[in-house]
Amino acid sequence: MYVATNRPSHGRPTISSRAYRRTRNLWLSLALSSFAVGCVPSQQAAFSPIKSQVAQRTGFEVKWSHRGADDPRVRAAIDAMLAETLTADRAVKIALVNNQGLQAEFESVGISLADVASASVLSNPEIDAELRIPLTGSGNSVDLSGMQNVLDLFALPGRRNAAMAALNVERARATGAVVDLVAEVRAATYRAQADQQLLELRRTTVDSTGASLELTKRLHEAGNITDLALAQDLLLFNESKLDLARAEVHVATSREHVNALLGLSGADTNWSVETRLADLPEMLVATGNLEGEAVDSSINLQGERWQMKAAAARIGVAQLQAWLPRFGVGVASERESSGDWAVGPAVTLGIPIFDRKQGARARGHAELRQAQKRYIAEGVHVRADARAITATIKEARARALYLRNTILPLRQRVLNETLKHYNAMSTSPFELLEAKRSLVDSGAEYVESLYDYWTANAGVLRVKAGRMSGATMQEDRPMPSDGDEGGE
Amino acid sequence: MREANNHDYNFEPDGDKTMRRRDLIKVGAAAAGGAVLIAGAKNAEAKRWNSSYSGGSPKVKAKSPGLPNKHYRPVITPNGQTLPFKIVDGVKVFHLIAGEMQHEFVEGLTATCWGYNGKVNATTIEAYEGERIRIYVTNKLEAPTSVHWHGLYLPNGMDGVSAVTQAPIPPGKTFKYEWTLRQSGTYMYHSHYDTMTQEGMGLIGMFIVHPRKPSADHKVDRDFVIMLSEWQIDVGASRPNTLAMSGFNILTMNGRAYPGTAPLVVKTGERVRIRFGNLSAMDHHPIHLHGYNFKITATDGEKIPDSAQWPETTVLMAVGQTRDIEFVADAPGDWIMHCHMTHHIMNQMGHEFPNMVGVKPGDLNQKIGKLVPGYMTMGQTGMAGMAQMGMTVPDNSVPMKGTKGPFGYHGAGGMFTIVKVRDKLSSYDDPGWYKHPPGTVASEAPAAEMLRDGINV
Repeated sequence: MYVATNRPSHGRPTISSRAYRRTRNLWLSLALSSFAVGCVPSQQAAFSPIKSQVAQRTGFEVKWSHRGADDPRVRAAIDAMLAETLTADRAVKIALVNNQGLQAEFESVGISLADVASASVLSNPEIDAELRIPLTGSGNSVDLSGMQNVLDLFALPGRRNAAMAALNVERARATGAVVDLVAEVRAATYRAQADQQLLELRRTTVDSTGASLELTKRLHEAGNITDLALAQDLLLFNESKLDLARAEVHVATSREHVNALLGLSGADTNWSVETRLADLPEMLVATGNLEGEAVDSSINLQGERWQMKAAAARIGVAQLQAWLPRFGVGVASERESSGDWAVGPAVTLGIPIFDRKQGARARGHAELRQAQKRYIAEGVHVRADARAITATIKEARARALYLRNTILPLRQRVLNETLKHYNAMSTSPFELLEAKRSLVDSGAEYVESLYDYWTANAGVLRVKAGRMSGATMQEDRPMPSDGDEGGE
Repeated sequence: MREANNHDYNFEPDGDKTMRRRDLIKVGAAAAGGAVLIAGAKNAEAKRWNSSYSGGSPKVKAKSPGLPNKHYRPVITPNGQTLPFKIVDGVKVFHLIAGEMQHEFVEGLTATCWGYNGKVNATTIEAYEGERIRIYVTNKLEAPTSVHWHGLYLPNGMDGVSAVTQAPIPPGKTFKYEWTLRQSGTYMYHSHYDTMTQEGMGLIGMFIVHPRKPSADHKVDRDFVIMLSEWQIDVGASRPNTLAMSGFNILTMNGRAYPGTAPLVVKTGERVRIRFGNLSAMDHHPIHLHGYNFKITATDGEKIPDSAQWPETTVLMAVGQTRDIEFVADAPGDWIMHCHMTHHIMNQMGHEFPNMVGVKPGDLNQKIGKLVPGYMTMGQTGMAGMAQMGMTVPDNSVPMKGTKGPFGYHGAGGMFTIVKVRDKLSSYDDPGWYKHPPGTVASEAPAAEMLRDGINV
């Protein structure tokens, strides 16, 4: 802005050096302040805590890629992983670079980052100019003033803190989205593996009912059994084919779930999954202090803490504004009609008579209380979830072990003994094939138990990584069959 | 005119009521003579009836005890034993001990059964007509028991029917039975407490009473005793199921199933008696002897008069009966003797198997074998040879077990034995398979002979 000066005798206008220095310093400090407080983290710097948190919590690397699969390096990485058999970890790596829903979550961080930028700058100074042309007489008068809202200087840290807290909330949410995606991809991959295994078992069942039908047909051709017996075996065979069809659909849908999570389509969907779920590990994953770990690492609780900080910061800003709604300093100058300039400081002060930011303060306090209560509620939920997933994984492991170590060996033993009885001709080949099908059914039950174990394991890892497993959500429990009611 | 018969000793002449005097006199004379005759006949028939249908007075004085090989030729119980005795003050004293034991029906099948003196079905009591016997029965079972002497005349209180004629013998206790024998023949003894269970578990045996005054044709050269019975032992199990009413899958002679039955070894020309008893739970057994036509000489301990003896090749043994058959073993060879119910000469034949006769297996072995390794389709041509295939069967089972015969695998089992008649014997031990004289064995017909005889195939 132009500052009028007293022109020195040499023609160049001069001002008193003290006044000049004061004015100059004032503007300089304002400019510097704007630079100082307007220091906004870069996109990568804003994302870096997310990256390190994800690595620490999950062991996986995550990237915020604007180009996604259009990035040749990303494309090459995806191709290399799809060329191999899909395991749970490999699927997670693909999802972390290729799931555009996750990338969209990261853009929320960018949005918050923009808010930080906005909250980190002073409001613009204002220049006010007036020209008054006398209607009578001569000599125009000019009023020239410049104002800077100095209140920003005091409110800006609070605003920035609130914006940074909100950024951290978004960072927490984004980190949580990664952890959730990791767990979901693992569960989806396990489901695809289990369904593939179950499909093989159902094929074995069809082979068994088919062999039984073949024998029945030959007995019928020889005139040794009735039409009824043949019809019964035809029914058994065809019902097993129905089960096979269902198993095939399950494989297709579980594959598509994986495709959706991994962001795959077209030729990329022709991957093959590791056909068998991994055996139970020697030791159960540590769950002794899972409740404590869950609370310590909870991203949700972290987010709620940031929410409380943001709310507190906003209260601070509102409280400042309540007492000092407006405070501006500047320079006012006037050229009188005589041509003489007068210049001097200007101050603007808002008087808190009517609007003392009652609404904003009340809102801030309510938001703070809300955040506090959500924090407490979240804490209860986090603890309950940790206990629930602990119980779930223990039961799943015990059930899988029981099926593997007790039931399956007994089923095999029944089959072996039935073969001996068949050899002794004291039992029929139909009972032999039925014993085989019972073994297959127990095998299917074991596959499901392994799936339950590994998804529970993914749930535990999810809890350790800071998110809830969802184990407290009650699934629909099957009603007892008619045969269980009243007995026969 | 009513027919005279053994039961009707009130016979009276019938005829025209209008008679002439001559006729009357004739009738009178005839009547007088007839009356004398009739009176004599009535006395004779009364005596014969009494002796035939009564055990006589129970107050009979005991006679001296008989000793084997001195007073009688002992019987042979194949796979069994004769209960030893001692003479105490002129009384023949036996000690029968009922207990639980492991019993081998045939090699490969052993079960927990109940029996007497360490044998199941095969402890024969031998006594002598007229002697007094005293039988101590010790109960080493965990259940009470008693012993009924099947077919024997004795005081009612010695009849052995638990809760009716005596109290049951508690576990661990010894009861005493004693009476004087006043008959001879083939009888049996068995538990009469919870008979379904205890007979079914094996508490049965033969009781032979030799005659004090045998008839001239009583003497035989070989006198065998065979107790018939049946069992249901599930394949792989080791205890009989005494609840079974049908589906008996182990049939025995003296508690053994063929090929576990000892042969009846006889020298050519010897006179043979076989005494059968049947205490099976539910089934009668028609026992058929190959190569001979025998006579049934006694039923339930009573001799059949010679003129009434029934010639048979098969004697039907109803449950609860004894029958003596006799023949002269004049044809050498291995003559099989077996129950003619076809299911009774197979060991542990399963009835849950489908009827596979005539089924063409096709690729069944491959289809089912892929699912159950070791599977093989069976039964398309019948049951023969199943046991010799060497397939793994449940432990302690003998499904369709037979034995190797001189001309191949012999799949028979169960209620089956062989009467081995030999011209020369150094002992009565099993002489092995019969060596047929040349030209006496059925074999493939020579083409030239078929042509000669106009046989076109």
